[in-house]
Amino acid sequence: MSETTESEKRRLLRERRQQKFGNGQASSRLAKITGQSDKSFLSTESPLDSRNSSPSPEWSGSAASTGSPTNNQDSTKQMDELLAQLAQKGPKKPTTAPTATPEPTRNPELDLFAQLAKMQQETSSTPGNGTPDTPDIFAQLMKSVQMDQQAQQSAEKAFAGVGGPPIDAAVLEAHNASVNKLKSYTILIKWVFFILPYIYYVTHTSREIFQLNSMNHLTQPANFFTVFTTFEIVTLSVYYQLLLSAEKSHKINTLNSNSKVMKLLSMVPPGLIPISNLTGKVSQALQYWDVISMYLTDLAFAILLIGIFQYYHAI
Amino acid sequence: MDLTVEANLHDLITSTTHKWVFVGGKGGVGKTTSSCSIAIQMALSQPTKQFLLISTDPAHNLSDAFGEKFGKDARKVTGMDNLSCMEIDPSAALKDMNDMAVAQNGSGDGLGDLLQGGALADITGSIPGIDEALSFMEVMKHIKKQEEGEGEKYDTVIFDTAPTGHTLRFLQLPQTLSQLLEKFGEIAGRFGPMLNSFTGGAQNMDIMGKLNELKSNVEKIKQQFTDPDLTTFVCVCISEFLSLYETERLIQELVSYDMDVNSIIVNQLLFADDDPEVQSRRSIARWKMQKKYLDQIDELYEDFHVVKMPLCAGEIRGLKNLKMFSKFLDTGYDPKTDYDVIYELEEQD
Repeated sequence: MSETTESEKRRLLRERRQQKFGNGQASSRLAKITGQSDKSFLSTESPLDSRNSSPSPEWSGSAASTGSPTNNQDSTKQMDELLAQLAQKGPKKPTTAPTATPEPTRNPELDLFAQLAKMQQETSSTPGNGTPDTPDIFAQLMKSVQMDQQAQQSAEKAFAGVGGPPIDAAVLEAHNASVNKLKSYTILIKWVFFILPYIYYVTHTSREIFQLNSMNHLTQPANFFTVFTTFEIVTLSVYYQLLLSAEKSHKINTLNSNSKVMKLLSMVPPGLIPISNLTGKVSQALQYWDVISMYLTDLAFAILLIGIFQYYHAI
Repeated sequence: MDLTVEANLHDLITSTTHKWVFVGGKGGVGKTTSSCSIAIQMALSQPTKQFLLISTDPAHNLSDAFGEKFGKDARKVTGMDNLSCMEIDPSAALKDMNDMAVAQNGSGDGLGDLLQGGALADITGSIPGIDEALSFMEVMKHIKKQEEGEGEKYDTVIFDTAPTGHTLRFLQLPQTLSQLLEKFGEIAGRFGPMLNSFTGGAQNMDIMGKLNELKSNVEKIKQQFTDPDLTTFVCVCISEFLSLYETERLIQELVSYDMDVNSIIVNQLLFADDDPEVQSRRSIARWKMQKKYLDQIDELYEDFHVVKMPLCAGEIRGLKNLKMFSKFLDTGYDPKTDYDVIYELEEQD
């Protein structure tokens, strides 16, 4: 057989093989195999059929360029439809591929990443991997770039307040001033009107200063932490309620995003640290830290006063 | 025109056009034995050409199959003038990269000191997919060398691949890389001059130039991998349910990548009907099971070269055994006349 006939035979066989995987037959081939076993849990969804049912512009383009009959069937059909349309309506320049009907707000930059993420998912369901596949280096890189964009958007959102318009610098300054004022008043009231007199009575040598027995019970040193912590919980709750109402009235959300840590965190590319919803968790941790730091400051002040008053009562 | 397909790999073994031959399948089905056999037969049938067998499986077996040590650089198989082997070693390649980085940065500064301990190799070595990426880089390096006329020129490269999942990722790399580089090209086009100024005027790295070079190399590989005259994939399986299922999935994935796949090697067959020495109850039951799946293979892959290879009494290791076993890839195995070879292999070890 001559060289030409050999290559022709190879080409015909190749086409015949590809035909057998086209027209949705790929899945039925897999079903035929899994049908051999009584208890098979293997998927019969073919990678070919799933790609044909949800074609992406890139894959179709690739298949067309390399001339695969399997992947070209859809595009041939679309081309026929397009030609029929042209014959009816006259010359008209098609602006988009028939398969790709982009949404008005679709970002072309993200198309590639979305497609690659899909490809990665398909790869992870490929045979040979008993366990879920680990993404490869390039897919991770692309995922990271994609997540970067989302993170940037969410960070912008966070800085601007939840879903709100950009904040005016003057409004922010006024808000910060009122928050500082609230904090100062809270500390003043707490320290001057409660902690100071309370510590005075706790450290007083003669505790029978109150007429009521129950009040004497409160000034027992053994009950100091119970009383102090209860007071702190009440005052901190009131303080946060007032803070929230101030934020609400100024329409500013600085509780989550105004710290340096949050600003630094927004610069870390998502995916670099393997913790989901890292921003939310750090924001929550910061709020807890805020509460604890206020409590610790008050406690430090109380300890200082205990020392001073004990010295005072002793002399 | 007669479109019957021979049950052997004679066409591939004598092919003068193929540059890349991939051999892959599920783990433990005999990929390494099959790829060694194909490489040996090709080398024997075309003595004037040079062949290179590369293992891209992180768990290398080539050295054990031939009974001699191969490393990251191609080395000729003892007893064969036109067949070389190499095992891509990700850790060695990463160590080279690390040493190169140390040489560039020098010691004394923080980065240089950090890299002295092999930190780059340690970090990058744990990245998923690094084996496939390095194998792919090796292919690119090989193509570049061929173009520049450096080193040994190989006419055909045979890949002994890792199990299916890894191989598919490897074969997907040209497509993925090509798209990624296209995007990078756009970004670099906008920020290229700024990036160049960041990387230092002394080194004068032309990022755009490097990206374009890489992109054209990747495109070249993509084109070559999808050209059926240049590239083919040989699937290896055993006649069992899971192996058959995975082979079918593999073929469908390859078809979706526009890669040519026309040959299937079915290994470890007992052929108990024609072998008077395999008549135990267990062997007969197993052969019955194998026949069930063989029938299905024949039905599903009538347009493929399906080569049915016997299960040998001994291990197929060493060039002599491999040569004896591999001839069945070229001529096909006839259980009636060839079954003596199965026991001859054992005697030689």
